[in-house]
Amino acid sequence: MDDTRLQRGPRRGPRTGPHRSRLREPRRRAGLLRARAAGPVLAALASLFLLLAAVAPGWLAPTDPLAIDPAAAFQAPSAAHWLGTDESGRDIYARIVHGARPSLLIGAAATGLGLGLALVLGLVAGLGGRLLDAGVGRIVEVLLALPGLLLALVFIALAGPGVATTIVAVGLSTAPGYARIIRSQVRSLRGSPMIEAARVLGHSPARILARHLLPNALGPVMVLATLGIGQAVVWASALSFLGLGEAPPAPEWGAMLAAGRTYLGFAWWMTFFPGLAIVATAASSTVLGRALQRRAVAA
Amino acid sequence: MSAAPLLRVDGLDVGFGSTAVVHDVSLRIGRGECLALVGESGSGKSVTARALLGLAGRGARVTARTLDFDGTDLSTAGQRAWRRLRGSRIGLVLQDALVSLDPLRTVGREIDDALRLHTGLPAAARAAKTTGLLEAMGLAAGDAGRRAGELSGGMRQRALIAAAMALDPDLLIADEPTTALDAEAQAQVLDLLAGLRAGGSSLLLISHDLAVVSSVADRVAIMRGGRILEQGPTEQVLTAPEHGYTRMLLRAVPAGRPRGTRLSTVHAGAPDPRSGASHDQQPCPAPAPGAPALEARNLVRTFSTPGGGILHAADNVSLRVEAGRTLGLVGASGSGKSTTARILLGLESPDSGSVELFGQPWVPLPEAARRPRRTQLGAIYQDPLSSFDPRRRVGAILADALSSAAVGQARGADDVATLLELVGLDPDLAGRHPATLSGGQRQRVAIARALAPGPRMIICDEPVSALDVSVQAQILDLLDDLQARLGLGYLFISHDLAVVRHVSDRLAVMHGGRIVESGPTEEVFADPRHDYTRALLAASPTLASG
Repeated sequence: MDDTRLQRGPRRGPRTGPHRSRLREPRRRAGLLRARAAGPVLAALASLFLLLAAVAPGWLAPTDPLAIDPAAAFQAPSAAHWLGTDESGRDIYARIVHGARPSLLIGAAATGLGLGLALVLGLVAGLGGRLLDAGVGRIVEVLLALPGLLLALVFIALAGPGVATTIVAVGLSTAPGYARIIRSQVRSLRGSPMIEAARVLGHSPARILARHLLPNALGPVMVLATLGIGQAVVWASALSFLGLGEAPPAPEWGAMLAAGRTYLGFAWWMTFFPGLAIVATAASSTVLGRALQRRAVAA
Repeated sequence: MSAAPLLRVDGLDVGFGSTAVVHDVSLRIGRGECLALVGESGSGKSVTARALLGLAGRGARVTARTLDFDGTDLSTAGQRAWRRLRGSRIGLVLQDALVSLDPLRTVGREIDDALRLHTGLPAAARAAKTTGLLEAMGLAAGDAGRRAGELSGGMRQRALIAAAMALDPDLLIADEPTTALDAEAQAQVLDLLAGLRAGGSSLLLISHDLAVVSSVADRVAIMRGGRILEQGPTEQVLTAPEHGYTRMLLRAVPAGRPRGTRLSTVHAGAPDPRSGASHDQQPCPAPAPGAPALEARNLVRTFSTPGGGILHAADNVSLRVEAGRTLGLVGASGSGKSTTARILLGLESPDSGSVELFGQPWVPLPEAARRPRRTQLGAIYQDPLSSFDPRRRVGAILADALSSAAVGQARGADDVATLLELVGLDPDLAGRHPATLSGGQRQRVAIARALAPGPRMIICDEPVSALDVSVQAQILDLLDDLQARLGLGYLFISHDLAVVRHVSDRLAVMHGGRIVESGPTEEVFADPRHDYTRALLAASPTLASG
């Protein structure tokens, strides 16, 4: 019957009738929803904590993350130092909380930069002629052929270490992936009846681009970008771990991991907790991104 | 018809959750008999058919006083019993063969499946049988090695029937088997089904189109809202319908209805004096009826095919639409209708030839020069949903279209409401997403959008072919009303000859990229000069009683 044909399009309204109720019985559906929602709820709580740490670290951890106390070096987790102390007696909990801001900042800024760059590349390839599309396509493919982290390393080797270069390096290496998605979205939208209808109505190309093409092309990419922030945080930490990002005394998760590595044999907490913070950030942004993706598909 | 019917159903109820969708349906299908189940989308006809196959779906409650197939009681049959019946004794053909056939497998394997699962035949015998089946369906033996994507719509549908007939089922259920096909392919499939019935198979034919089934069916059952309203011999139902709904359906069939007669009883659009006023502030003054609105001269457009050949999508196409009149453009799928429409809309450039819009050059012209005058030419498409921005509600879609009008006045929600009233929709629908509307409502929104900039000429590309007959009737009537009120010129493109005949003043027949015949509609119908037009006329289904 007509149902399959009529249902196309990203947005489906509430439907009544046989097919919907056939899919799932109400009670089972509620159970599924609960089980499914637990992950995103946990991820949302973790993200909330991270955001709070980034915005007001002093409120969550009043201790100075840089305060040295040689007498209290290498202390295991205790009531005084929840997550222990490092080789100079600095409080690891305070350092992790204070490290959230640079990590998230780098992650978000790098993703934003990557998206911006990808937008330009994707639009040029998607809207340009066959030659332009092929040209941009080959560049993107070469970039994709190199591992992203390697690309970032090359860039830092050329530009020197630091927070700004880390952002640019990670942004550069994530851009090709996004660019490809934007290109294919733009390509398929460009010939779609929806855009043709707008052209027939006499809208200007700029208006069609801004009001119809971009919003629809960016939708799926924005969901992916949520996933990408976690990835960018991991990469930024990896660069710091290699000594190419934020410099050591500053509280940064990757740098903390690197510093703790030397003492791994007897002070596991120095590496374990910063590592946990990285994993939690990446995992929660991934889970949230997935939940968004599911909603986008189901809506 | 022998004494014991092949299929006997009494008091069939199907419900999902707390909603009942089929109530107390009783059917009989005799051996070698064809029963047509006719109704609109949502009338429960497909659910009924699926219940007869044990495929009503998970969560469905199927109960029946009697569900008897060839002496076997099926009302309590389990999955295993159903599987033995399906394929071997009852075959199913679905509407959309492109979706129903696995795109990665050849047609031959698709047919072979049924033979492999239900018979112990060796591979060579199965291959011979597959070839035989394909040939019986009018396909070449070589088609067995092709995939669904390589076949035309009509060939796919016939391949699907071949698969369903592989095991010589006693009963073949065909759910809208011709709805997606053009007139010729439809005629072939209908011939095929008639042939199967003559060969002794029983048929249950499901359709929303009375004209289609009337040529094949022995008996017709009219279904609405999950109930059978009336059933009887085809002749009797068509000539002396008992139920008002049946009469309404019969009226909605455009075949044989002259131009100007109304097809629907529902009033298509509420005339509103205000809306008339707002559409008079056009930059382009209303031309006198009969003056050329859209005129194409010698359009040529070729495409190179992957095989290195050249496809003439438009081969020296000339046509002329007069202001306030309708030109019907009819042809099979692939005849170049849509390419021509795209050239006329300025979406694609012709290799040569020109188009004038209201006496002014239109094609070829740089897009920037054309854009300010785009408000004079509107378009309505077959699938309105895909032509709407999925992120927007109806109100935003119409406001967006209104803002493109050259009249740069503040047009607000009031005008969206006016537009919706103009096409006979409740202004409250402005807050809905198009995906939540019915097919007919969506097409009305699409018409409202086309009207928003105040065009004098509209190109309608298959505007009703995705709609039920009764909804189609309302849309056709609406287009008629709008033409009378706003003086619109239409180019009406369709593969459905009956529809085109009903709406058009003049007719152009397209075949292989050429206009093979054109003239006043009734003249073309009365005295078709070209062989292709004659073939098209012969293929077009009409109500058998006529």
